[in-house]
Amino acid sequence: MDIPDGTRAEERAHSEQLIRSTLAGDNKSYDELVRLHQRFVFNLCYRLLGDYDEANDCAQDVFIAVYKSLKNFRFESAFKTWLYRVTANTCKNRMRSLEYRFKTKKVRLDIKSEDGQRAKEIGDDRQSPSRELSRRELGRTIQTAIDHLPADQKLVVVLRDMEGRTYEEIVEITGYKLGTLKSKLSRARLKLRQALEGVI
Amino acid sequence: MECRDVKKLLSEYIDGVLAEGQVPVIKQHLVTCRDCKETYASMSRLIDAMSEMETVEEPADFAAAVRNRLERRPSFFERFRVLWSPPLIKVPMGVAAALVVAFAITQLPGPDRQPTRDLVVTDEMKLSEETRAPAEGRREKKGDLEKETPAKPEPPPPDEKLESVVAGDAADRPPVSDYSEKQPDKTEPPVVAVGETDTDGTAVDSSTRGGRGSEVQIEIPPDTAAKIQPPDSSALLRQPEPTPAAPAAATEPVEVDDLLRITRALDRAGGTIVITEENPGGEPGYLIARLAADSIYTLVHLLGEETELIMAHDLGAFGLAAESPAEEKTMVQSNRARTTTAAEGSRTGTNAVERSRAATDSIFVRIRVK
Repeated sequence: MDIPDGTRAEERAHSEQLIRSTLAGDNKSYDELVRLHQRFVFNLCYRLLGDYDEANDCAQDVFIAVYKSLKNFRFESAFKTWLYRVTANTCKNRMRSLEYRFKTKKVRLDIKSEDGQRAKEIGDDRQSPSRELSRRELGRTIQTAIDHLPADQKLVVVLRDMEGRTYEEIVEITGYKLGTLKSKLSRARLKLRQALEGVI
Repeated sequence: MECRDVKKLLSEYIDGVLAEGQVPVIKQHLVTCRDCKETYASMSRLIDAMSEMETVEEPADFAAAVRNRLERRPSFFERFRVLWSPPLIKVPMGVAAALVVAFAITQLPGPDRQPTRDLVVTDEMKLSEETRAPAEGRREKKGDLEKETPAKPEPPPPDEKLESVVAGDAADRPPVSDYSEKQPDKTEPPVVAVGETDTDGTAVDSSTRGGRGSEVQIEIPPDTAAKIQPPDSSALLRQPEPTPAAPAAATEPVEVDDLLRITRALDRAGGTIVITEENPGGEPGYLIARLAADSIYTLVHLLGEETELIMAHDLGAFGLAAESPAEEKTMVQSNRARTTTAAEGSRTGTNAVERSRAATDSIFVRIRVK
């Protein structure tokens, strides 16, 4: 998932050019900016929310919010880092909303089934990751385990282990101190390992 | 290092961000501890598995959907969707509840709380205004009540019984609307409340006739204020010395709307006004009223916190012991139905106030607007 530095620099320069064009009134430039980053924004939303439709709505909200605040972007940091930050905050707000909490009713991972085995059928939502990724049993189980993490731990583990962000980038995105980040990441990984015992 | 501490550091050890001094310790521990070694292995597999998870494809029309949302106006429900979002400013539940209760207490009208600004001016109230501001040239403080008063309303219908209460020539009194804008005539005595009188002009407690809201009819001699000495002139009843620059004509009793509020509260609590005091220099005055002891809580509730209220068993506590038959008459006129008349009291040599206290469980309250 790591992107070569040269590619990153090109991507950053391209994004900034699109931003300037958008600010100059070119709407097509913003459409291109959306297409350039929509994949990773959508996936981050999906990893954090665990629901395809929720991820779709939330990712659209992210680009709406970015468009409205684009004039405040100061080109001092990478646009992608800023986009990560907006996405993380939008997802956190969505996770705290009543609408989301009513919608996501899940079975706990640590509940043993009747035969004594750990319950593997976790999500019962019609748009859960299990439906979208039914052929990828392991990925589905991991995703469901991630869904049960606290929001802050979920964010750091997704950014680090799925998005491949460095510690410094995560600190910039989340605003956590480095020690706090390490602690949250360690707790998240230990919880996931415990929840996925026998699967991994 | 214990296993619990080692497991906490395994995440950093795997990422290669562990402090150099701790790396050999972890390595050595993993060689000797089977459980921690298994934890290390499974965590490494988990991280590898997460990094290899395939990305999810977004809908094909994702960018178009974003463009559509940017160009169309938000729907009704989208505009109110913010209500479902977490608030930006979080207020503790206890504080929020206290604010709601405080708002309800102070703002919402209750059955016992009557607004003072939206008064319905009845004939009785008009008469009260007349009797409190009777003279030509008097000017009240500017307030909403005066602003809402019509410029030139019709004068109240003549009432011989009523007019006999008011000292002075009723024909000389201006219309009601002029009263609030005129300065009091210091030659006229202040008169508290109104009501029916006997044909000879003597005030009578009309409660004995089944009337309500008009049982107080007291004429206060103009020199009453000078005779009354409060027990503590600095604490509750300030009577600044009138200065040459502040002539006696500028004296103000309590505000009209406050007086209305107080008299209404007294009326509802079954109390009667015994005496009123105006202070020179525009200071708020006070009322002394009498009511049943068990009605004091009702009165306190009706008056609210804006009004200072002091209770006593007799007028002597307020420095108002009867010193002359005329003053005694003034004090007890409102209690005539329950006590003997002042004149009778004087004849028998019994203090009317003491008799009234003995006859009923009434108390006296001094009410002052803060």
